[in-house]
Amino acid sequence: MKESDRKKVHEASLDVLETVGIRVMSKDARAALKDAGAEVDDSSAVVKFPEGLVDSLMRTVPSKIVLAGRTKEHDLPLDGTHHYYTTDGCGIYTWDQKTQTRNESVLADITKTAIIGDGLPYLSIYEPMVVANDVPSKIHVLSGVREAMRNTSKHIETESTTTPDEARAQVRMAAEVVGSAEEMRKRHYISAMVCTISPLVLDAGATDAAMVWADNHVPVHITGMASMGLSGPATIGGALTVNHAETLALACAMQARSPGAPALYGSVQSSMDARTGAYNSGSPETILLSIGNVEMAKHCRMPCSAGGTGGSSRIPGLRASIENAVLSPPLAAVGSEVMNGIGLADGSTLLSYEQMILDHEIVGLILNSHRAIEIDDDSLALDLIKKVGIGGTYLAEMHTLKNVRGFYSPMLWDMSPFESWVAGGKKDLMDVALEKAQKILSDHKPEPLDADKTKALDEIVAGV
Amino acid sequence: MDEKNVLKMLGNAIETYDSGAAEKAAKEAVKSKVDPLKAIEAGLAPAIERVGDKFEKMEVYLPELMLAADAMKSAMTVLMPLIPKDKKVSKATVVIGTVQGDIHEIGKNIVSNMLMANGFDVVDLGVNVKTSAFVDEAKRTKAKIIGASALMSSTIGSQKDIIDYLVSLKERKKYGLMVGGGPTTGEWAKEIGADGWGEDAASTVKLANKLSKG
Repeated sequence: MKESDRKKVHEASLDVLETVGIRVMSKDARAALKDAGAEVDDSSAVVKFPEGLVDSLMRTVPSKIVLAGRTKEHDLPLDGTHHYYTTDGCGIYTWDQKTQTRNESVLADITKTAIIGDGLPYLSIYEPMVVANDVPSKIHVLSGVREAMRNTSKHIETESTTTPDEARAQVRMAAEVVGSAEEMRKRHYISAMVCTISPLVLDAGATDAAMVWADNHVPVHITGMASMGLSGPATIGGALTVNHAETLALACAMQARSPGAPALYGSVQSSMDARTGAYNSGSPETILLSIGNVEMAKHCRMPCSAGGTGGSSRIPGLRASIENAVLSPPLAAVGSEVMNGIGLADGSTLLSYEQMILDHEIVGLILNSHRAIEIDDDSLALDLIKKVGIGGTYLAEMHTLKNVRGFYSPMLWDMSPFESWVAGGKKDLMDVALEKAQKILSDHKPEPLDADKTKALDEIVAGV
Repeated sequence: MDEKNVLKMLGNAIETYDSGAAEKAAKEAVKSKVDPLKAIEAGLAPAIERVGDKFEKMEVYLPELMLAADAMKSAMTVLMPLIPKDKKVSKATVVIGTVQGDIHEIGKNIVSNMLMANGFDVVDLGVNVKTSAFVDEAKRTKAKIIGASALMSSTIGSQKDIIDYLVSLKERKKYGLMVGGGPTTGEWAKEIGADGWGEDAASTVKLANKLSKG
């Protein structure tokens, strides 16, 4: 997009927010926006933003933040120069490759994927990957977050929080882990995904929760999902405009409530399937929307967590991997900082341990091919080029030895020949991936959470 | 320095891929009157084998293998002249080269280096080697093994020519014949009646070890 195009989208969104407004179902958010100068109609819950209000509220959104891990080695600066990947979140089924069936997901899937995720080098953020269908629904979210906190030291992104109490409980849990509420306000150990409801609605429960996140400076991934042709116009520009308006509205509500509250531009837009209206997150339109989201995030200087992997293939495997391998590289190229999300197929509903590992390989390839090319004396190797001269080899050189260690080394395959594949039992990549997942699960030992902190988390979850 | 420490120093030099240190260790062996044959067999050889094992387990990469072989050669240059002729032991002589019409040499050189480092006498004929030259040189040097490298699908046929030539001379069984190179496969080796396929440098050393005993 040209600079002038980004401006047009931004101005169109401001026009929408000024003239049409947005329905804000949360009383708390409406009250905060009213105090800040918005025009609020409590009977319809529609909030309109007079000229200048959005831009003035947006000024306090921090442009750079650090998503913290449980340990400092996992801290993730969002400063426009890094790319990170999350697990995908909140599936409802788990895939069984052997029987080609899907079963209801359970709490153990969260525990296991958190351990695996902790052991995967290119995964930076763990988001509880499924709904634990075997625990009472009132503790779905909290029990998932507890398993995550216990089984990985990486940053945790929480999803599907629909009440302010649920948000408060998670804030207490995070405070227990980092040491205190004050520390948690500074160290963003958890972040929360909050979806808007397109077109132009901010839900009551999730937005109430967003006010709690704002109060406690828990970064919010504002995740607009306007789908082209369905909940947004069937054009890229129009769909971006609806999404931008929703994103600005929630960011503004958070700033009105608590100036300086961290927020990320976290869209996951898609196109509908033209024949059926089905959610299609693996389309070229999806890629263009995500690129647009990243550009609009940069336009308003917000940290960005738009797009990533997570196609619409109904089952894990070949199609899912093709979609994910195509979806993500353009986003890394335009500078998306946090990219969603490895391991789920079928529009983020179906967990596959195999796909988790396949996606991780895709992500490894992407991250290793989207980095700056460094030119200095050592990388130019002019002396070495002169030394080896014409027709020699660079193999037996210390410079080579030192530098090949940094070459990307795939986890799932190597360059051994056809014969080795035959000798190894002609394994399908899905089988190799599952074996790898099982090996990580049995070998990897995450840094344990202190016993007293674990106990405190249990008490918080039990107290709900 | 006592013998134990000299042997350790030799091994360390190989395993840190350090030619300078290997030469220094070999000179230390001479100075400390360590039997040069023992320096090779108990100091250097186990170390290069360990590097080979690590390579097979993918714990180290090709440059490590090459640099270890270079370090081995540096130490051998010091030690070999001190071994009486009648005591010199070589596993076998290998005649190696890239086949006629093909001038790719890096892979062949890697194998050549690795074979030398692992105690073979290697006669490297270079690139674009005539079929008859492989056989003539093998006869002259009393080699047990012939290694033919080919890097193009248009030149791998020359590997078969060597075998056919040996068969016509009724000398096929005198030599172990190893083939290798990008377009070759285990199936190809079998199809043309070779005695083995060198998938990579480390496995070619293993293959040569096997053929030298046969």
